[in-house]
Amino acid sequence: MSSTITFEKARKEYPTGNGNVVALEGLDLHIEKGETVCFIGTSGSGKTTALKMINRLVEPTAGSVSIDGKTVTDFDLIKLRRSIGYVIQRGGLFPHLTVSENIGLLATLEKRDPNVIRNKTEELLDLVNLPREQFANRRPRELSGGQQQRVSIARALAFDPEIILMDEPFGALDPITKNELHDEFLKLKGVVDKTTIIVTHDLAEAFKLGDRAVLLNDGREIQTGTKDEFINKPANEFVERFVAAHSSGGSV
Amino acid sequence: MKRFALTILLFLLLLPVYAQEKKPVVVASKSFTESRVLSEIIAQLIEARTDIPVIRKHGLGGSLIVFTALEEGSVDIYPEYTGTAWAVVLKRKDKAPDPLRTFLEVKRELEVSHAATMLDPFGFNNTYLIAVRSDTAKKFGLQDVSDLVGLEDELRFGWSTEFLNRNDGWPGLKRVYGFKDVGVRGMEHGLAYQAVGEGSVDIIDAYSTDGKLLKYKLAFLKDDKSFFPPYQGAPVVRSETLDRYPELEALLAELAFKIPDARMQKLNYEVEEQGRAFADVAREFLTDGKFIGDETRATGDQASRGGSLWEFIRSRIPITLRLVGEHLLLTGLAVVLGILVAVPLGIWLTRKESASGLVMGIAGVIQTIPSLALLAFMIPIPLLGLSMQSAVVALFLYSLLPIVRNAYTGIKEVDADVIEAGEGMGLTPRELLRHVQLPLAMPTIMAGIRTATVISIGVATLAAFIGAGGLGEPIITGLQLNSPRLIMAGAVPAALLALLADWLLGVVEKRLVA
Ligand SMILES: Nc1ncnc2c1ncn2[C@@H]1O[C@H](COP(=O)(O)OP(=O)(O)O)[C@@H](O)[C@H]1O
Ligand SMILES: [Mg+2]
Repeated sequence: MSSTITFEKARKEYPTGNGNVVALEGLDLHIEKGETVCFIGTSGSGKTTALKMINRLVEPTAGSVSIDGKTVTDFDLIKLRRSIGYVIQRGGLFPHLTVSENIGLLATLEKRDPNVIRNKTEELLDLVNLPREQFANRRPRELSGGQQQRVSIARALAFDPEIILMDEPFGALDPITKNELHDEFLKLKGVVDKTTIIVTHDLAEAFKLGDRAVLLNDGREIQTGTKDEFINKPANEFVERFVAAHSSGGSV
Repeated sequence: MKRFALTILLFLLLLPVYAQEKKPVVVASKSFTESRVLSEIIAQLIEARTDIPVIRKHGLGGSLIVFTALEEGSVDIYPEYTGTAWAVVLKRKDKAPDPLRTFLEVKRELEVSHAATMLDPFGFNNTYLIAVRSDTAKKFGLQDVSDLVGLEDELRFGWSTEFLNRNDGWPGLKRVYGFKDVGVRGMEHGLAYQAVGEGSVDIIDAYSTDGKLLKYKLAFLKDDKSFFPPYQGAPVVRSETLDRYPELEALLAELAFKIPDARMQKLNYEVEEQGRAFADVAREFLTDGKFIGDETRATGDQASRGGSLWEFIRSRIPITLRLVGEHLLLTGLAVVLGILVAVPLGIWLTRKESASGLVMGIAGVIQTIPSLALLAFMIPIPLLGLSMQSAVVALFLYSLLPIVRNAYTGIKEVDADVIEAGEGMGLTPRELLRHVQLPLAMPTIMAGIRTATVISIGVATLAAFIGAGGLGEPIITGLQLNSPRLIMAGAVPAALLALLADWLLGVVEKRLVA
């Protein structure tokens, strides 16, 4: 259960007070079924913009994005979004709902069988390593940052989406928690088969979690490839310096 | 939701429909003792001598309110003064001539341009008096009003609010006698006597038939420039009412010239100083003069003085319960309507930012209109008039700003990440509103509703000025009679009601948010 994603000359300009800002310049990219791809680059390079084109939180100014060969604008917007899991940096959990209500909200709105919802929610809590007795009825403010991200991931998986989009999901976590979640993510990937895109500015994270990385700078795609390709065949000096800067930090 | 709003609207519109065959005659009075005594005399006379049903609207807030209500049709008869009608109703800037010419001209003008008439006067001339503390008068050798010229800085004026604002009051007096412009305190008429008694002001305006004049040591200054116009009391009646019930003209004519100054002063004195009920004083006058037969009837009027505090409180319980009920109905309807309109409006504004400035601006301007003025604005509006509906609409308008503002900010302040997560996971705008934005905005929205409710309960005490009932009734009567107890009998329950409502809504809020 996964899909291909294709960007074709996808371009985004934001209107601002003094002229348009080009956030993304004609991105061409094909992502395979079940592949995990990381969008990497400095802040403002256009990663989030590219990601949000997939679930149509951003509409391209030109070009297109398609899923399994069908342009996203041809899908029913709500159905499209419900088939895509979405995780954002600070979790975006609903503060007035408990952990299990957060996870089950959509299913409840779709009037699915409450028993099925409960079983599914508990299964998901197990999957993201949150003991259900302890966590099911807590509210987001009673959770640590790492626990919140786990719930956010469980919520994204709740509808058995074919695609998961994650925007800096581990960006706000301390290094130890981050590492734990990385490992769990890799384990999870072994269990659930989803096409996944992760936005990050951490190259080590990109290489660890992604099958491939896409390096963006100033809205332009600089290089797309595996860890090996980035290290051994950098596309240009910028990539070389980018990789070097990150490895000198000792994390690659 | 829609049907609910419609039901309330229908209910409001149907309120004035009474299950009576004969159209009742509404007899009104302004918010001072004499007006109310006269009005009660008229009401009882009609009740005793005809089978026309009578509705009383006592204590309306000023000449303009009563007359507007009369023109609009929600008042049929009220006692007016020729001089007042000349200045306030006919808006004549020139000086009123002698009593007879003033009366005839007011009568003609009412008939020609206002579909009303003035019947023959009761007989007294309740003109303004300028009253000074006796010791002050002696000290400065004051006899005529002219003697005050040049003493403006030494003496403290305590004009009643109405006197302060009328052409035939302070502005005209100042012009004719050549007084200098000095800081003048405006105060409620009943309080002015107390102020002059305590010595916190030196000079007040008084009515020449005022019963209270007997109680204080006051000297009266001669209007040596004949500034004050004649103020003969006489019934003002709608022409339409006389067409429907022609017998009223002859009936009210029986009262003509039957109440000279001294008699009027005594009637006022009996109510204000002896604490007798309006209805009793009026009935005694009518039976003494053989206008009506001598069958004594129990009255609903409560004596305001005498007896211990405990007895007073006990005697007030039943009437207070009724007033609290009226008060709650007024504010409850207003706030419920306010919620039904302002919460959706606030939500809509978060989606239509361009309109938010304008809408909040309008709601803000409404909020700054003085409460009594807003109530008075309602009277000429068709279907509103002098009624509960007017008060409900005015209170509703007041409740808009706090509710709309809080609904708007409440929704706007919901964390952008939470909204993005909701949109991204595929909630429809409706689901997002219902399950995310509204619950998260609820504390802010509820705070707005609480503010609106507390404001409403306070402002609703003024509803009595347009005859809409509520806890303002004893406050107004208390001011007329200068009875602190009676004022408290309205003010204390109103304050408790506000506290209670705030507390209850707090409980509701906790329930909703949890
Ligand atoms: N809604 C917007 N309006 C205007 N400019 C925007 C908006 N969103 C993003 N941008 C601009 O587009 C560029 C790319 O932003 P973004 O995709 O968020 O970058 P990244 O996620 O890589 O940090 C930045 O210059 C940013 O300021
Ligand atoms: Mg970003």
